[in-house]
Amino acid sequence: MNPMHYHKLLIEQIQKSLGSTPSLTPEFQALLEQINNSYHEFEADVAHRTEQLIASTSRAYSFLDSIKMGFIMCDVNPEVVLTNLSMKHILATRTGSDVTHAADTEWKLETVDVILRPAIELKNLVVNSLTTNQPIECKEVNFGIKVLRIFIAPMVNEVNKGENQKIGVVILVEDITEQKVLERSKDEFLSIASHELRTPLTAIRGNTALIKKYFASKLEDKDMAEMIDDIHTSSVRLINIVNDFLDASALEQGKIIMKPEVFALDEVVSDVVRELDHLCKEKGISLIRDTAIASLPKVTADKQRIKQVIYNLVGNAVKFTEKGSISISGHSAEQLVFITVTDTGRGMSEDSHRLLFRKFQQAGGNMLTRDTTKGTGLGLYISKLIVELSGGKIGLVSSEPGKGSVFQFSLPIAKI
Amino acid sequence: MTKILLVEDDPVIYRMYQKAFKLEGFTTELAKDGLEGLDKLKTFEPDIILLDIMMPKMNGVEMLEKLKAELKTKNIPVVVLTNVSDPGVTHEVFGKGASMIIVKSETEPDQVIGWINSVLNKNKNPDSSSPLEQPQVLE
Repeated sequence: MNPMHYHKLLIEQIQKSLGSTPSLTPEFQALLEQINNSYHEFEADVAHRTEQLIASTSRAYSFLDSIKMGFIMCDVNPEVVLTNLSMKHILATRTGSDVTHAADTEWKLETVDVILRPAIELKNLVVNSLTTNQPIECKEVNFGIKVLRIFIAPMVNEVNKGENQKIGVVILVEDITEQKVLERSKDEFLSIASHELRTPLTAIRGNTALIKKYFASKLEDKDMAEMIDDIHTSSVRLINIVNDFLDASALEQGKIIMKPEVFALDEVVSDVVRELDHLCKEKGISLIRDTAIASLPKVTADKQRIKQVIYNLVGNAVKFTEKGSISISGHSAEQLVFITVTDTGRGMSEDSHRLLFRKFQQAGGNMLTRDTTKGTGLGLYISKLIVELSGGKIGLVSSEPGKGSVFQFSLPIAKI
Repeated sequence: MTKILLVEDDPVIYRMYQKAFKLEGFTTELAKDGLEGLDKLKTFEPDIILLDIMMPKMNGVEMLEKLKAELKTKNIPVVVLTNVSDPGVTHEVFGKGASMIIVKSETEPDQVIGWINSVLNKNKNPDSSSPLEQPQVLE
């Protein structure tokens, strides 16, 4: 009712109670005037505050409606008190209803629960989160052709200092379909790339090997024989690059499962020495295996992968050593076995040390002075991933330009 | 003379192995997918089957299952030749009875011939004490 109306009523009542005296004293008139004015002020104030409230509410609604994440707020009953536009977009495929705005609360928790079944039982989860006062996360919820991530968190309000009151639950829903599709195509890319790149390379490698083996007598021309040789060497190099790339990606993505077994590192070191001895003899450098490795305690790790690490360290030493020797030694301390590879090769300056175990890095760092005949710069990076996945550490112990380098890695001793 | 059934769909690969086997004096029968492979086995009795994994119509894993389920073919050793380095696949084909897996890109044709001979020798002398060393398969 209008305040003016109350004013009129008030005067009527006053006249009634005063009897028939029709005129009012000026003081009385002034008082009534004041009452009247304060009504007006009060009215203006309410209007102003209502405006403010509407503005802030619609700001909150448009904020909620503009975020990409689906949002539902429930009270303690639990029943929906607020949702947003994204929530309705995300669930629209199943509700079939027109998408409206955040302020409308025609949704019941029951309805959303039914829509999301059988992937999850939302209502139970909400009740659970309310009673335990703990957030709940569902990382991958299959919803038709979509994949959703759902996060449920209890809301508390601090009534007094240190005294909390539960006021409900917030449900956040994120549409991660696109993300999942990307992940999948990345995985597929890996296996397709591995197959499709390797197959033609196999044919280049295999055919040139066959020519070299069975048709050597027909390759009288030295240049032609060298060309066939180079094609073969290049195909092997390319296969190794493909393998390094795929290995690094697979290790990064956790796609490689380590198959730990108990073994003596001596077996693996001997294998590597046997395989690389020929190359060392060709270069005129000696490859020395410390006999103490034979008496080291056994380790638990993936044998093939550890062989890959040792092969990489010793292989690098061979690559970068022109004269002198490469020695492999070992010791154990504090539940760890250490293998050390020492060479008398070209060594590295201090500022290139820190980049060593990083992806694609070769000591030297300059893109244009890369020595591409020495590999992709993935070897140490792959070795680091393998050693760390096996519970050990790998690093450069020391290196000096012109004098050589010392690399070392550790593995946990097998618990038998 | 060693008789081989080569089941492989890629011409650059099967032609390479056909040449290698011919040069080595093996008899090779070619099938370009699993179905054709099973068909060839009705008339051809190989000593060993070389089987690719990724093939149209019927893939290598499916063919391996059929081979091991048939009385007539279940004792023929199967060497899987593949470039798929998926540990799941490796595990699966061993579980289904493959004698060996060779990663094509890691192996020269004459090494493949060497492995074929050692699988056949092992099959002839099953009591032979020397275990067959599986070529390294890095997964």
